[in-house]
Amino acid sequence: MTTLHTISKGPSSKLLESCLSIARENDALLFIEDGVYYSSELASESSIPKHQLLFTLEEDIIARGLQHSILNKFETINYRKFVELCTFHEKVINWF
Amino acid sequence: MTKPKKMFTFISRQAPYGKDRARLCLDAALAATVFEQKVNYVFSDDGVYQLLKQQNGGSIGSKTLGSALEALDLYGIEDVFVNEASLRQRNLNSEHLLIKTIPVTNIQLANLILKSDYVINL
Amino acid sequence: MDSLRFDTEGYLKDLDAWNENVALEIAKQENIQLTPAHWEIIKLTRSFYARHQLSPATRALVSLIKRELGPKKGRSVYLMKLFSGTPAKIVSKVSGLPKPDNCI
Repeated sequence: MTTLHTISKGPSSKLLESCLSIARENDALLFIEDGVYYSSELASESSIPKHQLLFTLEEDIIARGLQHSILNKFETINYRKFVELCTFHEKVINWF
Repeated sequence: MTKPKKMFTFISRQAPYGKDRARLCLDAALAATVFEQKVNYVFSDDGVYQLLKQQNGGSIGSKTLGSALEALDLYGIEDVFVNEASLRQRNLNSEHLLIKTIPVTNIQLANLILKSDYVINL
Repeated sequence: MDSLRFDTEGYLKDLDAWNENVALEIAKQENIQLTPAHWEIIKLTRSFYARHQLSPATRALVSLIKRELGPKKGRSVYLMKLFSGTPAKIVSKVSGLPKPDNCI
């Protein structure tokens, strides 16, 4: 049983911290909307988990001009993969 | 034949008066009870501020959210949890709280989420 | 009655404008003859609203009645007999309170 967490606000929201406090080891995290800023901020790198899979949404990245600053830990995905992730995980929890 | 009950867990994470999300979360949970489902309610992060004693929304022309929370049991919502880490970070303990809540650790919260059919995270 | 303002569904707009005569009048519109059994529920509903700032849905109303007036009355059939239709809506209306949000 795994959960997909979507995070849709940037680092000043502290949403990642809240999410990580209850996310489980094999859960996946997907950063969307302003949440994609997490995937480019070196400052947030230290708080980023070791075990969870990290995804970030390409469309939101391009919209914000972040395509060259995404950290290596993140896999950039499109909407199609987003849908796949939603169906793959038993549960989706939105953080917004 | 009645359908088996689904378990709903509402997580309320915002402080009560600045925005309407805390109220919204409560309204959604009360609505869920109409359908005779199992409803859990969790206060976490700034949401624990909703539980403070002696709040009075009337002072800013609002309804007092805490007063409505006192009716949770009458709506059949008996499992009301509070994230103990969130309380601790805000220098609060159960004596500051308006209603009886079950303190839970992050791990217990993660397990509760796992058991739930639906999680509404506001 | 003429000076009272109601919303489109017939709920009293000004909570402070309510009194027993207003209740009688609203009940008449709903074809209900208020008896002591009705007044008991109205009183309880108004005290619930005063305490929780919330118009009770049927479930909460039934639990409240059960707690305050005992299990014989604390059943939805009892409420239905007194206030037919969707009891929680009618009770709030007659009690001069807003329409309960969480009712179907």
